[in-house]
Amino acid sequence: MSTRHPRNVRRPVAGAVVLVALAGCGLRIPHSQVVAQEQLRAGAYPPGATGSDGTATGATTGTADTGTSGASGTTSSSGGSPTSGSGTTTGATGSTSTSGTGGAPKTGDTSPIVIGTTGGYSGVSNIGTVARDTLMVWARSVNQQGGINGHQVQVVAEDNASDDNRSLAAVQDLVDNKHAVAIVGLGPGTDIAPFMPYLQRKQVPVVGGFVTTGNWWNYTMAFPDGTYGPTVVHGYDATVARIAKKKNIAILYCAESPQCKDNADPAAAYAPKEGLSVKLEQAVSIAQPDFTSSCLQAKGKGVEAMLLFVDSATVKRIASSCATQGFHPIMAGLGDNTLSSNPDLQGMVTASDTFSWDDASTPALSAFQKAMSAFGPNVPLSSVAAGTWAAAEEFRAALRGATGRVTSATVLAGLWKLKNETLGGLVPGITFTKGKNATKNSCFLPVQLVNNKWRASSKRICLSL
Amino acid sequence: MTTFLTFTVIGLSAGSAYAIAAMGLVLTFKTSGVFNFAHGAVAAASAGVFYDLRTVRGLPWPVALILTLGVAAPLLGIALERLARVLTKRSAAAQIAATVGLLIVLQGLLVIRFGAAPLEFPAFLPTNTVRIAGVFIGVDKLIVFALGLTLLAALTLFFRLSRLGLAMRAVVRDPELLDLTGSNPTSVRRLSWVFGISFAGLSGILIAPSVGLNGAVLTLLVVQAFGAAAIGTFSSLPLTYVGGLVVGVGTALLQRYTSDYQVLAGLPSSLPFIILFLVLALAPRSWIATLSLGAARSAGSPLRVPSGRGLVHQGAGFGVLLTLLLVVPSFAGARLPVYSQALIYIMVFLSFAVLIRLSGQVSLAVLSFAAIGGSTFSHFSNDAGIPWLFALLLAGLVAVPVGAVVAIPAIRLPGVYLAVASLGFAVLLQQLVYPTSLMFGSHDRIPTSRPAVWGFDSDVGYYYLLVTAVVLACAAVLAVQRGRIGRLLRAMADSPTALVTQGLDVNVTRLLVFCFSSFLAAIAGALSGPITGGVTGGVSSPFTALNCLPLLAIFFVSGRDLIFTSFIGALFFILPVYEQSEALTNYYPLVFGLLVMVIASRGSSRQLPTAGGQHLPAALVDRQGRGPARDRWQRRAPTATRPSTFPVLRPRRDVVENRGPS
Repeated sequence: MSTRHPRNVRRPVAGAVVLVALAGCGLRIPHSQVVAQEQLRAGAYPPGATGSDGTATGATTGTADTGTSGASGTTSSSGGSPTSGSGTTTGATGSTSTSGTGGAPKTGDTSPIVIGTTGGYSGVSNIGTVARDTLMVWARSVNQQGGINGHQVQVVAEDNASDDNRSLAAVQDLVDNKHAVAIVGLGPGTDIAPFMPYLQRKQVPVVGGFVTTGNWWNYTMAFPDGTYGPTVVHGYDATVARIAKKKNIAILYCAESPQCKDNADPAAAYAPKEGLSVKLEQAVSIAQPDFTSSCLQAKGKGVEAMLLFVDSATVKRIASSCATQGFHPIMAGLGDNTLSSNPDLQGMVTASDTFSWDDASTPALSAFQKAMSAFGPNVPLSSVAAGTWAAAEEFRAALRGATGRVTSATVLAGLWKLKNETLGGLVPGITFTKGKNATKNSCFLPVQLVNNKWRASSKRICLSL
Repeated sequence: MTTFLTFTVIGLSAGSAYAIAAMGLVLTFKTSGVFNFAHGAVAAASAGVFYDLRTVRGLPWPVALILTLGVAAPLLGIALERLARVLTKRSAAAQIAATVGLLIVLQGLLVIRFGAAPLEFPAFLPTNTVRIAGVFIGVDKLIVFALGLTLLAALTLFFRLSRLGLAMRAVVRDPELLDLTGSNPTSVRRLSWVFGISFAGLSGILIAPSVGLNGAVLTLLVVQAFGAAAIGTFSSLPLTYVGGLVVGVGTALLQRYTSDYQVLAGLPSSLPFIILFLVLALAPRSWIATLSLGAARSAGSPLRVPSGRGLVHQGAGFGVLLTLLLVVPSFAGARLPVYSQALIYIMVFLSFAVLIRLSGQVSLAVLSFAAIGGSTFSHFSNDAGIPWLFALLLAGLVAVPVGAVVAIPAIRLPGVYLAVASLGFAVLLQQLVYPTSLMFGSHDRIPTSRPAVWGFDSDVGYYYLLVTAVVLACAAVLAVQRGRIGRLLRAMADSPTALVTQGLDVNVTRLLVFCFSSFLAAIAGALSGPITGGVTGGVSSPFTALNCLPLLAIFFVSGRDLIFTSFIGALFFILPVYEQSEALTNYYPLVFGLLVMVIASRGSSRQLPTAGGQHLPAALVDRQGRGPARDRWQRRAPTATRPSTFPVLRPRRDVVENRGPS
C-alpha cells in the first residue's frame, strides 16, 4: 500500500516538472514567452532583401538632422528609381510634420533606445505577430538610417498569449527590467486597461497600435495614433453611405466572441444617422459550412451592403456564399492584403484609423511600402501593419529635437508637443496635452478595394463625436 | 412555403457537412470505444496533407486523395490504435485528456507546417451551380451530399451484414468474446481505426473547401456536429446522418424566421449546442442505457484518504507549499500578476479535482462557472455597491443553482457523455449569455476592484488575499474529502451501483458535488478580475468554453493527488513566462500534447471491483470495518431490488492495500 503510492505520485510529479520546463499547450493557452530583440531577428529581415514584388531592395541609407523640421532622407532602391523624401510634408488635415529624425547625435550619448511591445505571439492565438513584425521592420529601417538622433532602436517584444495578466506582467517586466522607455505598437488582442494603472504610476507612455477601444482615450499615459476607436465602427457606416453610395445594409457578426457584437450594435445604432437602413442583423458562426442562408435573406430584403464583424477568412467565405447566389453586395469590414485579389470582394470598403497600407503616393506612405518590402516581405500588409507603423512614427516624431539620453520623460515631453500632428499624412491630426487624455479625433480614412488594390480616398471623413 | 422549401434546401446542403463530420466521429467511437475530441484536428490534419500534396507539391487531386486516405490516414490510424488499445481500459478523464493531447499535437503540426492563419483550400470538385427550389447549390455540395448518403448506406450495410463489420462492433463491447470466435481483436481494432481515421480524413478533405484549412475552425465544426451525433445516440450512423441534416435545416430555418427579432439573433448559431445539451440532458432511460454501453467507465479510481504517516507527509507538504507561496512576492517582481493568476488556476483545478478525483465525474463547464462568478462579482460589487466580501460570496452562490441546472439532468450520464454535455452547455452559455447584460454585456471588459482594507488593494496585498483564498479552498476540499460526504463520493467513484444497492442516493451526492465545484470555480472567477481590475468574456478571456479542454489536459498530467495536483498544474502558467526561447515556441504544443498522450495512456488500468461485481465500495467501510450504517442521513428505504444480504461487507484486503492514486 505504501509502496505504490509514492511512486505513483513521484512519476507524474517528475513528468509534470519536465512538462513545465517544456510547457506548452496549444489551443487558447500558449505557453511561451518571446523576447525578441531586433538584432536577434536580423536574420529574418536581412538588409537588402528582395521585396515581394521583386522590384525594391533595401539598400537604404539616410541622413537627417535632428531639428524640429526639415529632416531629409534619401532612399535608394536598386530595383527602381531612387526616390527622395522631403522631410517636411503637409498632412491631409493640416499640420506640418517631419518624417525623419535620423542622423548623428547632438551629444555624445549613443546608448540605444529600448522600446517594448507585447502581444499574442505563440500557438494558434498569435494574432499579435503582424504588429510585432512590423515594429521590427520599422526599427531595422530606422537603424539603417542611423537611428533616431544617432541612437539605435532596440525593440523588445514579450509574448502575453493574449492574456490580461500576462500582459500586465510583460509590461511591468519591459519597463522595470528591460528599461523600455515606452510601450509601442500594440497589436490586436492586447487590451491596455490591465496595465494602464501601472504605466500611469510609472509615467511611461504607451504609444499607439491597434487603438480600437475607447480605453486609449481614458488615460493620460495613452497616446493613440489614430482615429477615436469607437467612431471607426461608425466609419464603416459612413463609408458605405458616402463612398459606396449604398442605403440598405445587413450586419453580420461572429457568435463566438462578445466583442463582435460589441462592434455590430454601435454600427447598427449609428446607421440611421448616415441614412442607412439596417435590414438584417445576425450572428453567424465562423464554423458554419456556408452562409447561403444569410445571403439569401439579405438579398430578399434588398440589402446592398454588408457590414461584417468577423475574421478575414470568414469575410471571404461569406462573399463566396453570396456570390454563388448571384448576390454581390458591397462588403465592409476590416481589410488586409489577403483579401485583395478575391474577385467576390472587389468594391469592399473599410474605414482606416491611420492610412491605407496599399498606398505609396506620399513620401511617408512610400517609406512604409519600401521598408516592408525590404525588411519584411512576408509580413502581411493590413490595417494592423499600418497602425503599428504609424505608432512607431509617432514615437519617432516625439523625439524630434531631443538631445542626450532618451528616457520616458523625454518621450513624454515630445509627445505632449504634438499638436494636430499628421506624421506626413499617416494619421489624422493627433494632439496630446500634458495631464490630459488624448484628444479625440473622429476623422477616418475611407478605403476601397478596386482592381485588387486598396485605394484610399483623397481626404478623410470627419464624424461628429 | 416556397421560402420554407428554399431554406430547407440550404439547410440540407449545410447539414451534409455536419452529417459527414458527425458520422466520422460516431464511426470512430463505434469502432474503438474512444470518444475522439481530436476528430476535427484529425480531419484538419488530413486536409493539410492533401493540401500539401496537391497545392504545394502539385500532384493531381486524385493522387493526393489516394495518398492521403490510402497511406497517411491508415498510418495515423495504426498509431492511434495502439494508443486506443490502452485507453479503452482507462478512465473517461484519461480518454478525454489523451484525445485532447492528440488535438494539441495535430494543431501544433498544422501551425508549424502552414502557420496559424487560415489558408484557402482550393476546390477540387466542380464548383458550377444548379438551381434547386430557388437557390443555387454548388455541384461540389451536391457531390458531398450524395457521397454522404452513399457512405451512410455502405457503412450501414457493412456493419449489419458483413462479418468484419460485426467484428468491429463486437470488439468494442467484448474483445475477449470476439477472440473466442476466432477473430483477432487487435487486427479488428486496428482495421477499425484505419477505417475511422480515413473517414475522418475524407470528411476533412470534403469540408475544407468550404471552411478553409483551419484546424481551429474544423475542430469547432466537429464540436457543433456533436449535436448531430447526440441525435444518433453516438452509435447509430443513420440517425447521426439525420441529426446532421436536422442541425443544418434547423439552423437555416431559424436564421430565416428569427431574423426580425434581435433578441434571438444568437439562437441559430447556438442550435447545435442546444440540441446537444437537450438530447443528452433529457435522454430517456433507454438511450442512457445505449450510451452506457459505450462509456461505462467513471472518471477515475477513487482517492485514498491519507492517514498516519501519510497525513504527516501531507501536512509537511502543505507547510512547504504555503511557505513558498508566502515568499513569492520577494522574487516575483514584475511577474507577480502571473503568480496571482496561477493562484486562481489552483482554485479552478481544485474545482476540477472535486469532480474528477472525488466523484469520478468530468465536467467541461468549470470555466463557465468561473465566468459567471467573474461577471456577477463585477455587477454586485461595482454596479450594486454590495460590500466586497458579500459580493464575492454572492457571486459564488449564484453559480450554485446554475451548476444544479447543469447537474440535475447531466449527472445521469455516464463517463465521457457528461463531459460532452457540459461542454455543450459551456459553449451555449458563451454564445447566448456572455454577450448579454446578465454577464459581460456590450463591453470589452467589466470592472472589478480590490477590497480597500488592510492593504489588500496593493498588488502584493491582493496576492496574499489570494493565498488566503487558496488555503481556505484547500481546507474546504479536504474537509469534504475527509467528511461523510467524502466517503460517499469515493464510494460513488468506486462503484455507484453498489452505493445504490445500499439504498443511498447517488444523484443527491452528485448534485452536491456539482454545486460545490461550481461554487469554487465561481469564487476563482470572481477573484481573478481584481488582479488587473477587470474581467472579459471576449477573445482574451481565460473563461472561453473550449479552454476547458487544454485545462483538463494540464490537470490530468499534473498528478493524481487531490490538492497537490492543482499546485503543479498552476506551474504551467508560471514557468512559460520565464522561457526566453522563441525558436521552441511552436514546438511546445507538440511536446506537451505528446506527453499528455503518454501520461494518459500509462495510468493504471486497474479498476476496483464494481457492484455489478461483488464488492462493497471500500470507501463505504470505515477503518473499523463498519459498513454504511452511520450514513443514515442520506439513506433511503430499502428497495425491492436491494439484495437481502450483501455479498461482502468487508473489502478484500488486497483491494484496499492496492488502492491509491492510479
